[in-house]
Amino acid sequence: MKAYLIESPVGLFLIDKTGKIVEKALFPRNPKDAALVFVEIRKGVLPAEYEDFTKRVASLDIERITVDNQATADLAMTIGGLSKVELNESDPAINRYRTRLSGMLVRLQLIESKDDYEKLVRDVSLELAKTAIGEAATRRDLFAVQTVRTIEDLDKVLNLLAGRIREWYGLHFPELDRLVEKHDSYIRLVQNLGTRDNFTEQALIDQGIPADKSQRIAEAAQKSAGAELPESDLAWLKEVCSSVLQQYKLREKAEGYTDKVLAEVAPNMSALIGAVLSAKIISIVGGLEGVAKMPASTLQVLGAEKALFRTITTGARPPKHGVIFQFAPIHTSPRWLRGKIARAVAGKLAIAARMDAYGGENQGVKMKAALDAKINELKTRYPEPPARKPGQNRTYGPPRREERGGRDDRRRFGGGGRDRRRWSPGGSGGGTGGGGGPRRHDRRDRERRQMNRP
Amino acid sequence: MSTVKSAVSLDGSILSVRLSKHPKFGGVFRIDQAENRQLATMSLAPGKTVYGEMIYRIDGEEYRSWDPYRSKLAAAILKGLEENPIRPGSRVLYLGAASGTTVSHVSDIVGPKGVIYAVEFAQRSFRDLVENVCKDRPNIVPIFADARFTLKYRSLVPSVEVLYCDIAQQDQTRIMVENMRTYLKKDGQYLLVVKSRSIDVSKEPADVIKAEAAFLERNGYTVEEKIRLEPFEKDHAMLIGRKKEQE
Ligand SMILES: C[S@@+](CC[C@H](N)C(=O)[O-])C[C@H]1O[C@@H](n2cnc3c(N)ncnc32)[C@H](O)[C@@H]1O
Repeated sequence: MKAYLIESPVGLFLIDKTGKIVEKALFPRNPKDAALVFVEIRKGVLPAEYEDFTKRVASLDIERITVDNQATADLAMTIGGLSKVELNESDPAINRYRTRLSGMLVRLQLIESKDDYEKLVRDVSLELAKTAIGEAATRRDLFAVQTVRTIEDLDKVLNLLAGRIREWYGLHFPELDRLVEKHDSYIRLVQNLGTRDNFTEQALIDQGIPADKSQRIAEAAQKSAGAELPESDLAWLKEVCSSVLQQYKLREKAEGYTDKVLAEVAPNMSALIGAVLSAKIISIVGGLEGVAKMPASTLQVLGAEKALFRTITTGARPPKHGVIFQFAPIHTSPRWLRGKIARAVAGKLAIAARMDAYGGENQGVKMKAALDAKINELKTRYPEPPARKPGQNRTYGPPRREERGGRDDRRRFGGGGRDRRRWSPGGSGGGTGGGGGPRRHDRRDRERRQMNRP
Repeated sequence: MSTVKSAVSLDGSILSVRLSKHPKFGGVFRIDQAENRQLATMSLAPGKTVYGEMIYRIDGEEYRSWDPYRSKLAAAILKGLEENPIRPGSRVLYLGAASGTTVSHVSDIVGPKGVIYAVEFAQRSFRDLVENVCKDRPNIVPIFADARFTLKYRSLVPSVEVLYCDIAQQDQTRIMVENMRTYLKKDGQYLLVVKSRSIDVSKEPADVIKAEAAFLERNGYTVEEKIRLEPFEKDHAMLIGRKKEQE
């Protein structure tokens, strides 16, 4: 015989050609329990307590079961002795039976009335809604992790390629390297202006470079010690530039996408420290729940594991901040304030992460205002570096690498850095955390290249 | 047809208003208070506001003002909708429920005999929908699903009289058509919100609307009304129609 298998919040029903229910497995009438069973059913799994349903169906001598969705098809496959499961998403008979199901159940006195059926569907849906809310949160944050890792990968590649272009064009116009810090600005100038005799003051201003800077670059171009760049070589270099600039566009888009995902996954964290940095933190920890479980003190040094380890093994000064150093209000502040600000940020961040993970309300804007106030208060309270205690040899030189979240991060972060050049054409505006393009390539590398200059 | 009544607003102040049934649409009311004329629905969940709307208590019933700047269905009514497919008792499949602003009024209109199957795929909006709206309103079935995967909610949604689609996706008309094929009754009707910017920014809104209407016609649906929603919503329109009679 041929039959149809329909799943519903009330149970599983095997219906024959004549529209008769020939076998059934009824789910609990309590919506909570029904939802638990139904969730499994929709994954294509039949909970163990319904095993006898499969046995009974298997004994029925059925040649073919038709279903209208993949999960029910998977479930039907587990029924022994079936020769065929047919999946037809718009099977007219199933459509008909689905429409009539509540009426049939009333006639068989499996439920009291159609209203009862609807009420059960509604209550089960509410229960499903609650589980869905929980499950979705954990799933979506993994997407956020992937998008921010894409940004990090792009940054690595862009950094390498930009270094390559600087070295290459540097043969022709070595002085430009020092004068234009931002990679994408540098590449855009090469792409748009070509050989150095086109680097006139006016042309540079037209490219969005401020007047004084334009003048310096134009002067350098006139006096340049670099070699000639033949047209054919330039053409190929420009092609490389244009393809790298495309990648910058992609990076920008990736950031936009991260913003979007994070606004859903972690609106409170994003409001506080920006989407990209939030995503980086979620990425380091491996998920939003993990972040929510961390105490503020751990969040503060997250990403500075090497430094932390050194503290433990050698008793060195503990790190004051990890990846959250990339948050502009921390790294743009005077050094003696950074630790204090980092602590304040981490405290708020821990609360934000909990609200995001456990479905609290959206308080990001309020929390950000409170954080800003706290930072201002710290700035007025500690305007001067603390006096050095006798015998303590502590300087406020450049922070050690790991303090800044590791060397790699330092090279990569953009958005409003200490030595960020604001004049760059097409550069992204201030913003908090993340943002902007990669930092310049290794300084040592540059010095080496300049020593090798012809 | 309407007389002056005294209404108590939520904060307890007593106002003098004129309450009348909407001349055309069941479940829709008008509350006029001096110069201020607004649409309203009779609340199915007394004492609760959903999005900060005004609540009036009149003759033992509660009415919620319906803001056309927040809800496109209200905007369409004010812009001269001829026929509202959503009536007391209707079953509605609502795609793109968001946090339930419009859904809450639809819930008031269809009343205890109607049902709304409210589909939303953004987690945050869905959470608000469930917490702030569905819990107080027994006629809403919240469904956390992507409207593109029509069959994922097959076992929860029966056939319906009305399909309301406001998902702001580029291919939303196609998505709605797929949902209509599975869920819309033979003589059922649809309401489609067209946001021309999310379909094609480079085209004139009027052209976008025309193209979407043509797509519906090609797929066997009539387009009986096209209502521009300005000034309430920029570059938005509402299309209303039904399945064509089978030749
Ligand atoms: C313009 S809003 C709807 C507003 C709502 N109708 C109201 O008036 O209150 C669009 C909603 O559709 C949702 N959406 C977009 N694409 C969707 C899809 N494929 N499936 C389900 N929901 C979707 C979005 O998450 C968003 O909440």
